[in-house]
Amino acid sequence: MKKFTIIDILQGPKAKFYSVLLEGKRQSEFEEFLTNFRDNPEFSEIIQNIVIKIDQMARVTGAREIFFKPEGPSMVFRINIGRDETYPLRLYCLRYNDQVVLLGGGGYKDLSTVRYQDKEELNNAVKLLRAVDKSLKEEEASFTDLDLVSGKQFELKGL
Amino acid sequence: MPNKIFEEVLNNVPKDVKRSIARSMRIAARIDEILKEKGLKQSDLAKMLHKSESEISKWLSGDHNFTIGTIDKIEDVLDAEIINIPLKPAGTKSKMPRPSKSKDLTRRIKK
Repeated sequence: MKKFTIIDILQGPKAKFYSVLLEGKRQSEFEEFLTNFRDNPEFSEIIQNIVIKIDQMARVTGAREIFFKPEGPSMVFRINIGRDETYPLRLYCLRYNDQVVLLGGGGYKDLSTVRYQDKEELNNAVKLLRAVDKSLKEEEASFTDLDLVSGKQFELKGL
Repeated sequence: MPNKIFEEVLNNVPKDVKRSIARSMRIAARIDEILKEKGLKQSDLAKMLHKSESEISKWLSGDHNFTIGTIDKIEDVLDAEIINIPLKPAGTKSKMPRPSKSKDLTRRIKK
Protein backbone atom coordinates (compact mmCIF):
# COMPACT_ATOMS: atom_id res chain seq x y z
CA MET A 1 0.00 0.00 0.00
CA LYS A 2 1.27 3.47 -0.92
CA LYS A 3 2.15 5.92 1.81
CA PHE A 4 2.02 9.70 1.99
CA THR A 5 3.21 12.52 4.23
CA ILE A 6 1.62 15.91 4.88
CA ILE A 7 4.08 18.75 4.28
CA ASP A 8 3.90 22.51 4.97
CA ILE A 9 3.53 24.90 2.06
CA LEU A 10 2.66 28.20 3.72
CA GLN A 11 1.63 29.14 7.24
CA GLY A 12 0.03 32.52 7.82
CA PRO A 13 -1.94 34.16 10.63
CA LYS A 14 -5.24 33.54 8.81
CA ALA A 15 -4.75 30.15 7.14
CA LYS A 16 -2.33 27.27 6.73
CA PHE A 17 -1.67 25.48 3.47
CA TYR A 18 -0.26 21.96 3.22
CA SER A 19 0.33 19.44 0.47
CA VAL A 20 0.70 15.70 -0.01
CA LEU A 21 4.05 14.02 -0.60
CA LEU A 22 3.68 10.51 -1.96
CA GLU A 23 6.24 7.93 -0.88
CA GLY A 24 9.15 7.74 -3.33
CA LYS A 25 8.53 11.18 -4.83
CA ARG A 26 10.79 14.22 -4.47
CA GLN A 27 8.08 16.83 -4.76
CA SER A 28 4.64 17.18 -3.23
CA GLU A 29 1.59 17.23 -5.51
CA PHE A 30 1.36 21.02 -5.32
CA GLU A 31 5.10 21.55 -5.95
CA GLU A 32 4.85 19.24 -8.97
CA PHE A 33 1.89 21.27 -10.25
CA LEU A 34 3.87 24.52 -9.93
CA THR A 35 6.97 22.96 -11.53
CA ASN A 36 4.95 21.65 -14.48
CA PHE A 37 3.27 24.95 -15.32
CA ARG A 38 5.34 27.84 -13.93
CA ASP A 39 7.63 28.26 -16.94
CA ASN A 40 4.97 27.75 -19.59
CA PRO A 41 3.99 31.21 -20.92
CA GLU A 42 0.50 29.94 -21.66
CA PHE A 43 -0.09 29.31 -17.96
CA SER A 44 2.15 31.82 -16.20
CA GLU A 45 -0.71 34.26 -15.54
CA ILE A 46 -2.89 31.64 -13.89
CA ILE A 47 0.00 30.26 -11.85
CA GLN A 48 0.69 33.80 -10.62
CA ASN A 49 -3.00 34.22 -9.82
CA ILE A 50 -3.02 31.00 -7.79
CA VAL A 51 0.10 31.77 -5.73
CA ILE A 52 -1.06 35.31 -4.91
CA LYS A 53 -4.42 33.96 -3.81
CA ILE A 54 -2.82 31.37 -1.56
CA ASP A 55 -0.50 33.99 -0.09
CA GLN A 56 -3.37 36.44 0.54
CA MET A 57 -5.58 33.76 2.05
CA ALA A 58 -2.78 32.70 4.39
CA ARG A 59 -1.94 36.23 5.49
CA VAL A 60 -5.06 38.38 5.11
CA THR A 61 -8.45 36.93 4.20
CA GLY A 62 -8.43 33.32 5.40
CA ALA A 63 -9.38 30.44 3.13
CA ARG A 64 -12.95 31.60 2.68
CA GLU A 65 -15.28 29.38 0.70
CA ILE A 66 -15.84 32.16 -1.87
CA PHE A 67 -12.29 31.61 -3.13
CA PHE A 68 -12.98 27.95 -3.95
CA LYS A 69 -15.34 25.94 -6.09
CA PRO A 70 -16.61 22.50 -5.08
CA GLU A 71 -15.59 19.65 -7.37
CA GLY A 72 -18.05 16.81 -7.10
CA PRO A 73 -19.82 15.57 -4.00
CA SER A 74 -16.85 15.19 -1.62
CA MET A 75 -14.52 17.56 0.23
CA VAL A 76 -12.57 18.31 -2.94
CA PHE A 77 -12.51 21.92 -4.10
CA ARG A 78 -10.55 23.86 -6.66
CA ILE A 79 -9.18 27.36 -6.40
CA ASN A 80 -11.77 29.72 -7.90
CA ILE A 81 -10.11 31.64 -10.68
CA GLY A 82 -13.23 33.48 -11.74
CA ARG A 83 -12.67 33.06 -15.46
CA ASP A 84 -12.93 29.36 -16.26
CA GLU A 85 -13.18 30.04 -19.99
CA THR A 86 -9.91 31.91 -20.24
CA TYR A 87 -8.04 30.08 -17.48
CA PRO A 88 -8.20 26.38 -18.36
CA LEU A 89 -6.07 25.18 -15.45
CA ARG A 90 -7.33 23.38 -12.37
CA LEU A 91 -5.71 23.10 -8.96
CA TYR A 92 -7.52 20.78 -6.58
CA CYS A 93 -7.44 20.82 -2.80
CA LEU A 94 -9.15 19.66 0.36
CA ARG A 95 -10.55 22.72 2.05
CA TYR A 96 -11.37 21.71 5.60
CA ASN A 97 -12.27 25.13 6.95
CA ASP A 98 -11.25 28.80 6.69
CA GLN A 99 -7.89 28.01 8.30
CA VAL A 100 -6.77 24.67 6.84
CA VAL A 101 -6.31 23.70 3.19
CA LEU A 102 -4.52 20.66 1.81
CA LEU A 103 -3.32 21.38 -1.72
CA GLY A 104 -3.21 18.58 -4.26
CA GLY A 105 -2.30 18.61 -7.91
CA GLY A 106 -4.25 19.43 -11.02
CA GLY A 107 -3.72 20.09 -14.66
CA TYR A 108 -4.88 21.48 -17.93
CA LYS A 109 -8.59 21.34 -18.69
CA ASP A 110 -9.10 22.22 -22.33
CA LEU A 111 -12.38 23.76 -23.35
CA SER A 112 -13.57 20.56 -25.04
CA THR A 113 -13.33 18.66 -21.72
CA VAL A 114 -16.65 19.10 -19.95
CA ARG A 115 -16.07 16.94 -16.86
CA TYR A 116 -12.85 16.49 -14.91
CA GLN A 117 -13.51 12.72 -15.01
CA ASP A 118 -12.87 12.79 -18.76
CA LYS A 119 -9.28 13.91 -18.32
CA GLU A 120 -6.99 11.33 -16.71
CA GLU A 121 -4.64 13.89 -15.15
CA LEU A 122 -7.50 15.75 -13.46
CA ASN A 123 -9.38 12.62 -12.48
CA ASN A 124 -6.25 11.18 -10.84
CA ALA A 125 -5.66 14.39 -8.87
CA VAL A 126 -9.23 14.36 -7.53
CA LYS A 127 -9.12 10.63 -6.75
CA LEU A 128 -5.85 11.03 -4.88
CA LEU A 129 -7.26 13.81 -2.70
CA ARG A 130 -10.35 11.74 -1.91
CA ALA A 131 -8.13 8.85 -0.86
CA VAL A 132 -5.98 11.19 1.28
CA ASP A 133 -9.12 12.61 2.91
CA LYS A 134 -10.39 9.10 3.64
CA SER A 135 -7.05 8.01 5.09
CA LEU A 136 -6.79 11.09 7.34
CA LYS A 137 -10.35 10.67 8.57
CA GLU A 138 -9.74 7.01 9.40
CA GLU A 139 -6.71 8.08 11.42
CA GLU A 140 -8.93 10.69 13.08
CA ALA A 141 -6.54 13.48 12.18
CA SER A 142 -7.54 16.88 13.48
CA PHE A 143 -8.42 19.16 10.59
CA THR A 144 -8.42 22.23 12.73
CA ASP A 145 -4.67 21.88 12.96
CA LEU A 146 -2.85 19.71 10.47
CA ASP A 147 0.41 20.74 12.19
CA LEU A 148 -0.33 17.81 14.45
CA VAL A 149 0.08 15.39 11.56
CA SER A 150 2.58 17.36 9.46
CA GLY A 151 5.57 15.16 8.70
CA LYS A 152 3.77 12.00 9.81
CA GLN A 153 3.40 9.17 7.31
CA PHE A 154 -0.01 7.68 6.51
CA GLU A 155 -1.14 4.72 4.47
CA LEU A 156 -3.11 5.73 1.40
CA LYS A 157 -6.44 3.95 1.51
CA GLY A 158 -9.04 3.46 -1.18
CA LEU A 159 -6.99 4.30 -4.27
CA MET B 1 9.24 29.33 6.47
CA PRO B 2 7.37 29.36 3.11
CA ASN B 3 7.91 26.57 0.65
CA LYS B 4 10.86 27.26 -1.69
CA ILE B 5 9.14 26.76 -5.07
CA PHE B 6 6.06 28.64 -3.87
CA GLU B 7 8.21 31.56 -2.75
CA GLU B 8 10.15 31.63 -6.03
CA VAL B 9 6.96 31.81 -8.07
CA LEU B 10 5.42 34.41 -5.74
CA ASN B 11 8.53 36.61 -5.88
CA ASN B 12 8.38 36.66 -9.68
CA VAL B 13 4.85 38.07 -9.77
CA PRO B 14 4.82 41.74 -10.88
CA LYS B 15 3.92 44.11 -8.02
CA ASP B 16 0.93 45.61 -9.84
CA VAL B 17 -0.58 42.15 -10.41
CA LYS B 18 -0.06 41.30 -6.73
CA ARG B 19 -1.64 44.56 -5.62
CA SER B 20 -4.63 44.21 -7.95
CA ILE B 21 -5.53 40.64 -6.90
CA ALA B 22 -4.86 41.40 -3.22
CA ARG B 23 -7.24 44.36 -3.37
CA SER B 24 -9.96 42.40 -5.19
CA MET B 25 -9.66 39.63 -2.62
CA ARG B 26 -9.96 42.05 0.31
CA ILE B 27 -13.08 43.61 -1.19
CA ALA B 28 -14.55 40.16 -1.83
CA ALA B 29 -13.69 39.05 1.73
CA ARG B 30 -15.31 42.20 3.15
CA ILE B 31 -18.51 41.54 1.17
CA ASP B 32 -18.47 37.93 2.36
CA GLU B 33 -18.01 39.17 5.94
CA ILE B 34 -21.02 41.53 5.65
CA LEU B 35 -23.19 38.80 4.11
CA LYS B 36 -22.34 36.48 7.02
CA GLU B 37 -22.93 39.19 9.62
CA LYS B 38 -26.37 39.83 8.15
CA GLY B 39 -27.22 36.15 7.68
CA LEU B 40 -27.42 36.55 3.91
CA LYS B 41 -26.24 34.30 1.06
CA GLN B 42 -24.72 35.12 -2.29
CA SER B 43 -28.10 34.28 -3.84
CA ASP B 44 -29.72 37.02 -1.71
CA LEU B 45 -27.16 39.54 -2.92
CA ALA B 46 -27.78 38.42 -6.51
CA LYS B 47 -31.51 39.07 -6.10
CA MET B 48 -30.92 42.45 -4.47
CA LEU B 49 -28.71 43.54 -7.36
CA HIS B 50 -30.80 41.82 -10.09
CA LYS B 51 -27.79 39.75 -11.10
CA SER B 52 -27.27 36.02 -11.58
CA GLU B 53 -25.71 33.94 -8.80
CA SER B 54 -22.85 32.97 -11.11
CA GLU B 55 -22.03 36.63 -11.68
CA ILE B 56 -21.86 37.28 -7.92
CA SER B 57 -19.70 34.18 -7.55
CA LYS B 58 -17.29 35.61 -10.15
CA TRP B 59 -17.24 38.96 -8.34
CA LEU B 60 -16.29 37.23 -5.11
CA SER B 61 -13.64 34.97 -6.64
CA GLY B 62 -10.94 37.54 -5.92
CA ASP B 63 -10.33 38.42 -9.57
CA HIS B 64 -13.05 40.96 -10.20
CA ASN B 65 -12.06 44.50 -11.04
CA PHE B 66 -14.73 46.31 -9.00
CA THR B 67 -15.78 49.76 -10.19
CA ILE B 68 -16.68 52.42 -7.63
CA GLY B 69 -20.23 52.28 -9.04
CA THR B 70 -20.53 48.57 -8.29
CA ILE B 71 -19.14 49.02 -4.78
CA ASP B 72 -21.63 51.86 -4.21
CA LYS B 73 -24.52 49.62 -5.27
CA ILE B 74 -23.38 46.76 -3.02
CA GLU B 75 -22.90 49.13 -0.06
CA ASP B 76 -26.36 50.52 -0.75
CA VAL B 77 -28.23 47.19 -0.85
CA LEU B 78 -26.29 45.75 2.09
CA ASP B 79 -26.43 48.98 4.06
CA ALA B 80 -22.80 48.58 5.10
CA GLU B 81 -19.43 50.09 4.31
CA ILE B 82 -17.09 48.05 2.13
CA ILE B 83 -14.26 50.53 1.69
CA ASN B 84 -13.23 53.10 4.26
CA ILE B 85 -10.63 55.64 3.16
CA PRO B 86 -9.28 57.52 6.18
CA LEU B 87 -8.27 61.14 5.46
CA LYS B 88 -5.97 63.23 7.60
CA PRO B 89 -7.65 65.77 9.90
CA ALA B 90 -7.85 69.34 8.53
CA GLY B 91 -4.61 71.28 8.98
CA THR B 92 -2.39 68.20 8.92
CA LYS B 93 0.39 68.55 6.39
CA SER B 94 1.04 65.73 3.99
CA LYS B 95 4.63 64.59 3.77
CA MET B 96 6.30 66.05 0.69
CA PRO B 97 8.57 63.86 -1.40
CA ARG B 98 12.28 64.24 -0.67
CA PRO B 99 13.80 67.05 -2.84
CA SER B 100 16.20 64.79 -4.70
CA LYS B 101 13.43 62.41 -5.68
CA SER B 102 11.17 65.32 -6.58
CA LYS B 103 13.82 66.78 -8.95
CA ASP B 104 14.38 63.39 -10.46
CA LEU B 105 10.64 63.05 -11.07
CA THR B 106 10.53 66.51 -12.73
CA ARG B 107 13.42 65.50 -14.99
CA ARG B 108 11.64 62.30 -15.99
CA ILE B 109 8.40 64.17 -16.72
CA LYS B 110 10.27 66.74 -18.89
CA LYS B 111 11.84 63.95 -20.93
